[in-house]
Amino acid sequence: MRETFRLSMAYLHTWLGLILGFVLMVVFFFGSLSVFDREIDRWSVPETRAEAAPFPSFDRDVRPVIAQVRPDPHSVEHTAAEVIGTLPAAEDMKASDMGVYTNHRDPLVRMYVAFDVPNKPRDPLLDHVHVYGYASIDPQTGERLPPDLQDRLALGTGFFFPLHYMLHLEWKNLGYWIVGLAGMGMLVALVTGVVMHRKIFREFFTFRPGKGRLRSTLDLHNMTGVLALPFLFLISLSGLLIFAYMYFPSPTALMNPLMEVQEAADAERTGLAAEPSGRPGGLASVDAMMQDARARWAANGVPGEVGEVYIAHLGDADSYVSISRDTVDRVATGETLHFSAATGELIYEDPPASAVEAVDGFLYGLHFQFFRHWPLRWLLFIGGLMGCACIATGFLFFVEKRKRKHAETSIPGARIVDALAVASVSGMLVATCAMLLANRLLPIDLAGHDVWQMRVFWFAWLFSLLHAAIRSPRVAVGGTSPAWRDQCWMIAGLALAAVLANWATTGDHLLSTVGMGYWPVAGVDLVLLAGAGAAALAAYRLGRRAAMTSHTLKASPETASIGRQAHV
Amino acid sequence: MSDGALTFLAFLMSLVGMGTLALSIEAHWRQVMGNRVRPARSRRRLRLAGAALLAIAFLPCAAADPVSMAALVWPMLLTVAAATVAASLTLHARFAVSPNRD
Repeated sequence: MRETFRLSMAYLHTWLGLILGFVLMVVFFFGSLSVFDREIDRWSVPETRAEAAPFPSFDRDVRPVIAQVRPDPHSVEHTAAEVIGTLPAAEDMKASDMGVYTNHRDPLVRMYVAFDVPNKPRDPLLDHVHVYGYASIDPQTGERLPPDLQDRLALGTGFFFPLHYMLHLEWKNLGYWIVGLAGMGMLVALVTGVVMHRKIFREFFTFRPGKGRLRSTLDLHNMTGVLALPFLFLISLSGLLIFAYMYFPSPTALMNPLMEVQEAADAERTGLAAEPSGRPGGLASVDAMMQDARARWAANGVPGEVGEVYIAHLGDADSYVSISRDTVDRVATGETLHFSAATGELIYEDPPASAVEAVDGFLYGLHFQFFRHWPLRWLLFIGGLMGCACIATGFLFFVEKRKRKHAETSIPGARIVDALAVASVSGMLVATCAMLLANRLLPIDLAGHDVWQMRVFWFAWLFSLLHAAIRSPRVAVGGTSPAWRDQCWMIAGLALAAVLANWATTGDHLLSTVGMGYWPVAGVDLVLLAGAGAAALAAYRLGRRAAMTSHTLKASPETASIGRQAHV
Repeated sequence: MSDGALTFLAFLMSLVGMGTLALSIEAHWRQVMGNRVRPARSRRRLRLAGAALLAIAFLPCAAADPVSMAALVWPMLLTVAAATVAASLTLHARFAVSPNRD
């Protein structure tokens, strides 16, 4: 325990921030990008650059595809490891549940089909084991997308989005746990940060770039942290709540029997069967059910496009169809009507949310952001980037505060942290821009097209760490690592190249995308250009400062040595 | 008024509100107003006026969107408005005041 409460909180803030800050940087940056995941998808899969379209006819376009969907080989492999004995052949698996979904930003309708397997799971608590198959439909033409296009890696929803909550570390869900720990750490850092900050109100608006590196870094760290505090707190808390079932598994582990009883009671109350009856049943017109749902939403005066159609126990007498509204007009999601699959009659309507459900729905919805509100989307993107700025300046302050002392006592601490900070701030941007560029330049018919993009990402990131380490000796003598400037130039070059490559490979340059008002692609290009400009400016100014410092040192070696002696 | 215009109005109100709050802080008052004497009790008044403007800025947000959305738009607007005020104070210190200092 330190001398005072404030000092012990400062100690916790510093060391927790240092350890978890690297993860938080990744979570906040790729989380910010995920605000525009659908738009990044359009940019990275040019064949899908189309206007978003409403849910197509289910009976005409979706239904024929259900029978075509086969179990996905990856899913078969995954499930085979989870169950006892060998799985039946993929052709013999029977489809049980399925979901078809789109939203107001998607020019695609995506669907998954869950297939039953007769095997028992290895983990007895895993009560529903399935194998999944996937398909995508173009809602404009009603045609199924060719398999190569459907399985193509979309960088937004397929790579950046999962990276921000599980770091692509699948082994034993390690990534989820690390991110959860970091999220918890973020909450602690926010609270301790408020406790240790002496002048929250007096320095609310204060950023003094001229007052020395240490002061200005701390100003920026405090300002971004304090101003974005409500956002940072809510986004970390809601992120934790989303995976709370994993971090606190008691409902699915310890209290599993209770949960099964609850499931049965719910089924009794709502009339929605938890398990299939085993008797065969038909599927009435889903279009008619969607029509019914739209009419009910219109009567309630809410925007009424269908977001998801879910069918439970396909082909069973107790099968039901759940139709959810694309909740474009509110934060919370999930407004669902349930119909009998056989008769098409409404069985159950979700009741209005209770107070607890309303808070839960709000927190969940503010993290998933399914609403239609472009200004808010940008505000949340800015909030995320302020979080990144807060974390990055935290690293800089840590290094700035210690590097002189470490230089004098030959401790490598500041140098190591600075190199890691370079890799996790500018290196992360280098890797992202390199991946976008690779996405445009790698030929589509290259075997392992998706894997190569990921390799470019990870190797570019590794390269940035090596580069930062090699260029770090100047930190060991109390200077600034030239790696910051080098990598800023790399970011500027790669981001500009990505925009140009997009133009060269698709013909969609900014004049045409802005002219047509096709904002998903224009927006990604504009953000890349803005990023390139900011990185170039930062690199230029870092370069100028480095030149000035070396000039002063050369011009007045005596003052420099006097300064140093005073410290010793 | 369109929803976009209402949201923009809310942003302008937040901007003025945050600016007023900044003026209630001694250092920023001197930074912007120079050595002009600050009337007595103005600090409290500026603070109240600023806070009131920020609170009222919720109204155009609520008029533009359903309340649950406004509950998200409003604090985010306040954050961006405060950052804008802080940035302009920094730029002001850099370009407007420096000749006096010399």
